[in-house]
Amino acid sequence: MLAVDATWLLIGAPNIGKSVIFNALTGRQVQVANYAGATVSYHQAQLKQSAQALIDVPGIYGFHAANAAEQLAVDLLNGRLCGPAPACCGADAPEAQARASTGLLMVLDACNLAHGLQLMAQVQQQRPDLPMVLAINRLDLAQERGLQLDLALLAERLGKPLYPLVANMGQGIAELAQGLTAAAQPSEPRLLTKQQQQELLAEVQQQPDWQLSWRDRLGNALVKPWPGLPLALLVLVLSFAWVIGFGKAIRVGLLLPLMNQWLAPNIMAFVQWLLPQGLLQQVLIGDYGVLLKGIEWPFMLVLPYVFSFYLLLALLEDSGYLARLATLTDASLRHLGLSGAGIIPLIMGLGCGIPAILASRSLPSQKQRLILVTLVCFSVPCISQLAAFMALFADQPLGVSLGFFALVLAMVLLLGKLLRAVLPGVEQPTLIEIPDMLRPQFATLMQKLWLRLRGYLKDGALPMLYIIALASLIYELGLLRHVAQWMQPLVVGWLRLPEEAALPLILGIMRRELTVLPMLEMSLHWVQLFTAALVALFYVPCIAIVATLAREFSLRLALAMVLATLVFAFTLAGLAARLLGVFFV
Amino acid sequence: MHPINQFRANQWLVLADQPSQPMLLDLGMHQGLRLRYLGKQLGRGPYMVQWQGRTLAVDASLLQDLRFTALSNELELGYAGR
Repeated sequence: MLAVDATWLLIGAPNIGKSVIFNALTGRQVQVANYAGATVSYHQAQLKQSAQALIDVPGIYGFHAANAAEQLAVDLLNGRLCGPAPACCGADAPEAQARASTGLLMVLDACNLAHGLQLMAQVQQQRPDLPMVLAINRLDLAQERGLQLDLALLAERLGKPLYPLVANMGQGIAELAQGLTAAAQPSEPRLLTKQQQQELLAEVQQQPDWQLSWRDRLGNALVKPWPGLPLALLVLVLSFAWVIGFGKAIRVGLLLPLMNQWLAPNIMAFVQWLLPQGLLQQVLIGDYGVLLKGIEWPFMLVLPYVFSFYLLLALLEDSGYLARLATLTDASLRHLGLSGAGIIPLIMGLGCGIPAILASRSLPSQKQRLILVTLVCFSVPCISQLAAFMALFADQPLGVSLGFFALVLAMVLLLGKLLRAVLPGVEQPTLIEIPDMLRPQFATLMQKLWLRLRGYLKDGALPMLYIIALASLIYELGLLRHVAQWMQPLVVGWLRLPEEAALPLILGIMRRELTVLPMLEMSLHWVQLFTAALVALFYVPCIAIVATLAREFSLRLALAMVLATLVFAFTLAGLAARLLGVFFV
Repeated sequence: MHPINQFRANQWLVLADQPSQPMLLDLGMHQGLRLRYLGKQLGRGPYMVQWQGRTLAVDASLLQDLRFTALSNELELGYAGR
């Protein structure tokens, strides 16, 4: 039997449910999604009720890594990466110290046994020193397709116990956990030649009457220009309608009345009763009072949109639609120097820039990664910022917000084309795996939603609260006047905004949406709102994004991005203020 | 000529422009590389092929690239023909 503190490496092809198995065996909650490349770093955790550890790594097709994420898996498998993770592919688990593997948990895909056997033979050839436990997942899908598998015969021929799983339903997980605990030291691996693999497949697998299911037919239709493109347009419109409509309905119909009519008056009355008039009371309930704006901005204004966006994203991810959208948009994204696969990190960037930067590891070249992160840093607003824009333009004519988003789109296109032309490097051809269309599981959707909402509360709302407290203190101490005077030539002279707009420009360095939210408290002409929104959109990325850029690429690149965004944001917004001022002010 | 050799001889586009049979045109087996043409995409967009039971969207250039053959595991670790 293996040591009680054995470390298992979870290995297999992409998108066959390895992270679902990892979550089920360890009780951890790492992100799962129905597309190849969802896992871009490794996660390490202890098995439930056992001292053994399990490491989840990105899926691989073979030992020929096509991107940074796959290289990480190959390196871990070869034992070349133990100890702290290198900067280029750092683990996002808190315990970012990869333990040397003492065993392999090889996952086969019941729907694609041929490739699983081939990969298994390669892995055995590469690491004959490690014991291997075999599991076969997605048996429900195989059954749905009429695939008949003789698992007992397969296990016998492979010379190892084989654990059947339907991991997303939790079936077979308990038996697999017991199997890992009882696993024995390695014996001589039984390597199957190509010929033997094909003979084995013919023996253990039969598919007498396979017919395309309605999901297969839908999946095939969605990836073709007709009817895929009109349907993509429909999905886009419905997505916007859902995110904006639901977010606004909850905000305007429920949360803001709750805040304005009940919460704010009670908080103010309580603080006035508790504290005498003075600085502390003003910091808590003054113009930028942390107990008022600290609740209103992150929770009443932004959270409804965060909720609706992440629910939609989870639905799109788990259905298998995103990879199809990537295929449809491939030709268009080529103009920006990206392949279709870039659409997934770009959409993730609409939620938050950090997962988008991490997800760029699945892109095949450094040039594509650089183009993608530059687009994310410059001109892809995160959902918090989008929510702030919605609030900012809420009382303005529709043309203002439409004009703004048209300008954003134009900037993305121009910037992409420019970067494609100037950045060195060869453009890599497209290779996107198209996953099966699946019916999203309610429990998985809720788990993902909670995971991301928790991330927003921890990394978005909480820092926002601290920064609002700082802003309130600066405002109440009268420091804003000095800052405003110092920044007057830029804010008033160039951007034609009021003096107090200096405050959000400073706060925006820490959280991007705080460049926008304080503008709500000022009485601005729509041209000023437009100018402020432009500054906010192209302004420096949040501190957390800058740190991620430095870790993933280099400090030099992170600082260059800060400088470039600053210059670009102020130049463009100043020019827009002048141009619009001529016609509309 | 075997379909896969037509493809290797850069005649892939002839196959790709057959709108009457956009689905399931089997290109056969060649060194373990099983491709099944599922229909050409937008203008210069990727092609849909099946490889090792998986559906992939790939550029025509990649299909002619050695790297794609390497992805089929044939060239790795001297494994072929063992």
